[in-house]
Amino acid sequence: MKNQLLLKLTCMVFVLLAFTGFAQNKKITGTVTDRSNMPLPGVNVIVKGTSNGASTDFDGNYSITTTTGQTLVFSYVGFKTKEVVVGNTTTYNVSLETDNAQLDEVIIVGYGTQKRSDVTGSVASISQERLEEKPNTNFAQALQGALPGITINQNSSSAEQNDVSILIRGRNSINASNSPLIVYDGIPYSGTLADINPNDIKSISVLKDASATAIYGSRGANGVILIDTKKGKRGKPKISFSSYSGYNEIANIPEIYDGQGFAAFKETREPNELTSSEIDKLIAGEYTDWLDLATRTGFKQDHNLSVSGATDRTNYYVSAGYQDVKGIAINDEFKRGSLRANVNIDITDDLKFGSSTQLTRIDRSGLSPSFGSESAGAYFTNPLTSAYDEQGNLTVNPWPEDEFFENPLGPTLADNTDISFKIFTANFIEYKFPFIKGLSFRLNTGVEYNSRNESRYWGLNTARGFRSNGEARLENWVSSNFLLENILNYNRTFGDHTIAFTGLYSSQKNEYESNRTTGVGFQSDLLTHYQLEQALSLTHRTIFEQTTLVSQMGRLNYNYKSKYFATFTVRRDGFSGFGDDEKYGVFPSVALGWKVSEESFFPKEGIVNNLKLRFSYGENGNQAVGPYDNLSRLTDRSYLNFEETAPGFIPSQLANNGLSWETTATYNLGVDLGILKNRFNLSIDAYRARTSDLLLDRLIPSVHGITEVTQNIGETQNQGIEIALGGAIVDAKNFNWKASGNFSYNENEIVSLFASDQDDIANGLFIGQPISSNYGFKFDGIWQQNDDIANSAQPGAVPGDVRVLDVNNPVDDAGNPILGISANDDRVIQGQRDPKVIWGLDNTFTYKNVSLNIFMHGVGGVTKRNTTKDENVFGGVRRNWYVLDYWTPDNPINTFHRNHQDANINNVGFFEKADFIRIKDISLSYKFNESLFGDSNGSLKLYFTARNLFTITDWDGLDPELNSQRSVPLQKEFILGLNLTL
Amino acid sequence: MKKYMKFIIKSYGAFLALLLTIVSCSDNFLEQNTPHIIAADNLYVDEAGFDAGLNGLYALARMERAGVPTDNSPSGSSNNLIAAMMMGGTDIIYGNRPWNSERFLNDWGDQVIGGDAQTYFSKTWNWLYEIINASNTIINRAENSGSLNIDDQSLKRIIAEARTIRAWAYRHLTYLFGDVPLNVNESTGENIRLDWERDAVSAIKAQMKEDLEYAAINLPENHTNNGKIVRAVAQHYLAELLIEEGDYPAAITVALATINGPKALVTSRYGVNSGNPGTPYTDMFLEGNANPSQGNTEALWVFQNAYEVEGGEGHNIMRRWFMSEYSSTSGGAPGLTVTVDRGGRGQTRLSATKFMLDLYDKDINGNVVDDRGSEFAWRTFFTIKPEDPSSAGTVGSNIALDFTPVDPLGDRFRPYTRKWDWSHDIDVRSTRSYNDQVYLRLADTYLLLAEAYFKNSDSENAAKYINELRSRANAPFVASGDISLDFILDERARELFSEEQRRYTLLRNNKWMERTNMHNINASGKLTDRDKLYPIPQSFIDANLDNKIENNVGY
Repeated sequence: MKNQLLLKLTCMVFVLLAFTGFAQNKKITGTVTDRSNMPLPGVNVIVKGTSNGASTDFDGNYSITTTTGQTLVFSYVGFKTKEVVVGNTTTYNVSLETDNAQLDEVIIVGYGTQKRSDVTGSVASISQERLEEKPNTNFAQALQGALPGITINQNSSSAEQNDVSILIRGRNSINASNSPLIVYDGIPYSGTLADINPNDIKSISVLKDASATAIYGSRGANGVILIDTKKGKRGKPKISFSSYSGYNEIANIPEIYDGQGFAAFKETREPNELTSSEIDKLIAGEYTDWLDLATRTGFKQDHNLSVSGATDRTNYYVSAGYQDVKGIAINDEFKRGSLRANVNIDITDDLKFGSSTQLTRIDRSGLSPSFGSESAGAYFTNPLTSAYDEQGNLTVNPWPEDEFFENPLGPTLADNTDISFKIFTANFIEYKFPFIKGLSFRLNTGVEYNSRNESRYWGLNTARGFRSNGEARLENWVSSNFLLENILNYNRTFGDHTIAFTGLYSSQKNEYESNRTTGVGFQSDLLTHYQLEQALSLTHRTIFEQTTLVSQMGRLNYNYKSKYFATFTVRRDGFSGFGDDEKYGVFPSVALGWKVSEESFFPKEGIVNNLKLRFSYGENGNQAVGPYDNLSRLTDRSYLNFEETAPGFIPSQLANNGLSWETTATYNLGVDLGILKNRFNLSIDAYRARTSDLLLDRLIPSVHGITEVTQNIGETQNQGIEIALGGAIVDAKNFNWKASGNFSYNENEIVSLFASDQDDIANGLFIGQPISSNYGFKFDGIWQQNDDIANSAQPGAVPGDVRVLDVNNPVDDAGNPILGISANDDRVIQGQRDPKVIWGLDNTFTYKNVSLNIFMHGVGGVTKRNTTKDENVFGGVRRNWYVLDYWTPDNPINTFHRNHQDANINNVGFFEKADFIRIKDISLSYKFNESLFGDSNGSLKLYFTARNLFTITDWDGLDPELNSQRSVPLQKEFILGLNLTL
Repeated sequence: MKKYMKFIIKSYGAFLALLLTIVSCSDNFLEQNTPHIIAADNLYVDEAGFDAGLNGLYALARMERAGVPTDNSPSGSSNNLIAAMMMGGTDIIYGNRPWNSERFLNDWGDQVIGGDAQTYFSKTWNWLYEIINASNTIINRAENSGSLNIDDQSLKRIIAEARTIRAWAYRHLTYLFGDVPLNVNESTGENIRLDWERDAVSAIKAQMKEDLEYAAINLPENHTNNGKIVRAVAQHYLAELLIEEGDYPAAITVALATINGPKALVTSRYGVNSGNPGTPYTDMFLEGNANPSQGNTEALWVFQNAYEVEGGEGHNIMRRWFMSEYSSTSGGAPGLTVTVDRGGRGQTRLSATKFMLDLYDKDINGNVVDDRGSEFAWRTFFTIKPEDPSSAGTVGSNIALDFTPVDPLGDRFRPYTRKWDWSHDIDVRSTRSYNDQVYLRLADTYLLLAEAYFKNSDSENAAKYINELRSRANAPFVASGDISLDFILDERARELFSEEQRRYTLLRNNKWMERTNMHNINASGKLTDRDKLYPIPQSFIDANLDNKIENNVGY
């Protein structure tokens, strides 16, 4: 694999060399100035279609050699590019116009688009480049570290890499979901991240403050991610082919004992406990490296072909994509094939039709080994046991004397197919009323249909199948989502006043059904799941959910002289899942903007050339209750009549007619700056969001026979600051360096909980503390030999044991302090699991045709329990463990306990900083000269990308970002790819 | 072109108007579609619906022999056997594994307040009130079902079943916790109360008596479904309640009616194992023999379980808790192979005290003569098989369990009752059991009758009915002069070991502290008056915000 890559890289270098060297025979000189005749230093002057270039000196003068008929291209950051055809003269003085392209960039804001410079809310967007040249399996990976205020956490590692959590501006909700609403081509999207092919995405906008998200009403509180797919551009058909492939390796695994090390550890811990099969293995030197068996070098390939273009009345984009990933866990595979057709047609001058349609097939077949399971985890399984029997088959129980343990590789023997299909189609017709200028009507429809079918069979060669005499399972999921939107738009400029009004009336219906049939007890394994009807026993489970939403929304944008801006929105949502008394909610917002730099008093020639202030306030909802949480329900408790099922039910949920959404009220203050003629752009946002009517499971007296009801009680608050800065640091003739960075800080706090305002210790919730607080005994070092243990709070401790921080010493009735460690008095909060600080830094260096991109990303203020130190090898040393530095009388360290089962009987957690800095991506690309394609306007780029190459962290476990420290490890990826456009 | 445009405008306008009408007119668009949801309103509408509600009650009741459910899970765990807190810490049963959750049954003192014990109490409390709410729902709705098409007899039968189980749940609550809130209404979203009070045991007993008297008339004498309760069950618990209230003549009348009803003691060999050595007494506990339809005439209430059948999972861990862990190589056990005929795999969590093991009559050679203490009822030795490790002994030789010391802790090779032996042949190491188990037997009613006669100063009749049990068990007869309260309690232990809620029996007779101190060396001297009741769970006290609940004295 590696050799192949090297070969490809070498070829690339030769190709580079082949395209240099051009004819030069005429010297051209001149001066470049701006509109006010000020000379511009550092302007790039290039002969079009070549790498032949120069740049202006301090006085704006340049000199370049070329031939008659060639075109000179003058480019400078913050100014519009100008082209001049070389004629008979040799002097060309050029004046460049300032360019507000960055500010004039149009971004999607929900139910329409807006010029970036006119936006009053807090909206962040990322460019198409971030989605290309990176081995992203889904778009969330492209967002990680790219935008301020957005925390993307890769919870676990797998081929699909779909286990990602997205938090926008912190965690509002305790029980309800904190995931943002995703709107895909205008349609609220309910599918998985993996269903969207990142190559089809044109732009992503993230709406963060209340005024931007209020248009999504009861679903906007966690922020909104808007994704639009590509459209065709006017001109001849453009054919694009992009392709990459590469391999993956394990980034890091803490050291685990091999057979010899394990035996030594076991002998130290519990002498003479080695069983005879372990001794045999030890003598023979046959050690099983379970993690090695469970993992491999992963492989990934991704190919996309698209055709796009536009004629007078039609524009189109059609694409096909295929991705195939073999994960670093064996048998962990992910294959996605997708097709997309986007078409827009102007039927008449006033009537438009558009369609954006996607078909996706995903194949997730195959089960991975078990990594973290207590009885079968690859991390834990005794290395002195056998993965294979004498016939070379996987053992069911690898340790003959201890049948508790199952072979971690067992699941790979299960017969599993898992195929999903998705249809997503968004269609609209738009009609401009000819008799009222600026008025148009648009009918949007969205249909999403997803079906997933999975079959599994565990034969007698797996522990699970062995226990049940074969187990077969068939499961299917069908989900659908229908949306109908009536939108009225009115846009008009009257003199200095510009008005844009959007009115919406919409309805949406979501449906989900899953059916699972499990059969156990089969005659043989031969027919796998196809013999389900012959099962000894069949059980069936159905889940059905349906929700409906009816909404009205109005938005008014107003600006005066493009100087003063105001946006008012109000949305009313009715949701079926709320209680009968609370079906409807109203969500208002207001935002104001002032472009200070448009004022006459604003200095025109200052460092800051553009300044805009923004303020917004609004309310948003989180409707994340289950579809039937408001209803009284019974639950299944079936009994028997002889050997037959006798259906049985008991009450399980009380009705709650008052159940409603959570409300988040947000203030946002922002400032946008353009510096040095927009060479640098800076945005700063500060916000405070308070969520009330929190959906909490509240305990009620158990005499009711039911112990909990979900109610709208409690409050949380998030406040923070976000900074984004970007620009061209160096912009010279052959070299430029662009950088962009972002930083955000968020403070999360529980303001109140139940009516009595008490901490909810059972659920780890504390007023005044973040939702994701760690709570427990605090590690206070190790008891040493000279310590006065007998008179301490832990008189039963032995030197080498963990010392618990004795926080409080309550007094008894007589006023004497009660020594001792107790859960009531000595547990404390130890940091939070969600980061306080997130940042990203993106640097791109371009020298002639070669470009190097380095993207770093980091989080700070995170504390997590390092479970690799929660040493538990079971009594009798039945599990393997990480190689840890134990305390001994000769090694009296204060960081870790002695090698003994009872050394940490209070189960004190080792909470460690999980801050990290990750060199996320390093990409090196080479862009071929356009002349390669003659007049056809084509382009070709080759690139090499390495992902997750380095991580700087104090964290001792598997990885600071992953949730489980005993899961598939994080992977390094090495990718070689090309983008070709014709 | 102009014409064409006009046409479009017109037709489009019409289309638009139509769409808006469609959306806006559907006011019921937000109504919830719930084709799959079972709620009280759509279940309790016919006899089958009420029977489904009753099935739910039976499924819950059998959890007495499961572990207390873990958080957010309807299933029983394999730890914290609910029945342990009703049977253990008595004269005849102690916790063998001193470091496990049941250690409070030996140590009492602070262990009753500690975390593991708290879980025991709160989960058991929640489980019982869950049963009470489910019963209340059935009773309330059946009593107000005038408009439904259910015949009167069926309706009475439905109410009688639910009232019996409600009384059964309150029996547990009063014995475990003393005064508890009396709730006889279906819980709804509208009647959530935060001001519950503890009602006196006497008030709860009055309700139980009313329920059981109703059921003793309206339950059928027999039922085609083996798992359902019959009239004798209500009569049995009514007789016990009457004894407690001191109304011995009434208790005698009810108990006599029960034993003269359709149920009868098993006095001869029957069923699946009748061709092999065994005893009538032990036949009742074998899989295939437990149910009335299988010939068990003595069974009043049988817990139904079945492997890999929906509704068959009772999470039963009686075997796990009482059987010796003979497969271990520590705690004195020889590491024998787990097999089906050995009854599966055990954990030795609860063991019989030495006092219990010595209770059975012996002949002059020291051999037990009582069938209830025979090798068919108690495992006292294993015969080494070829599949056992060679270290265990010669194949065919016997290896005796550890009989001699007094109530050792951590002894995994202790003699144990074979009532719960069972294993399925698919997975012999399975944690749970899936055999049907007798929960209440007529023999218990005989012993209640004897107790009532004795307390009514009629030792003659007390001896008569005890001797019917002894006759069946081939134990020597007892003379009326030898009858005493202690003798009756001993006899109950011999007959009903690990079946009766021993703690309740002793508390009813005010004998718990005396006999436990005398016969259980692990708990001896550690009991206080406080321990006659368990603490009211803190989780209930905390949630009852509007009325501060006083806990039992000493907690």
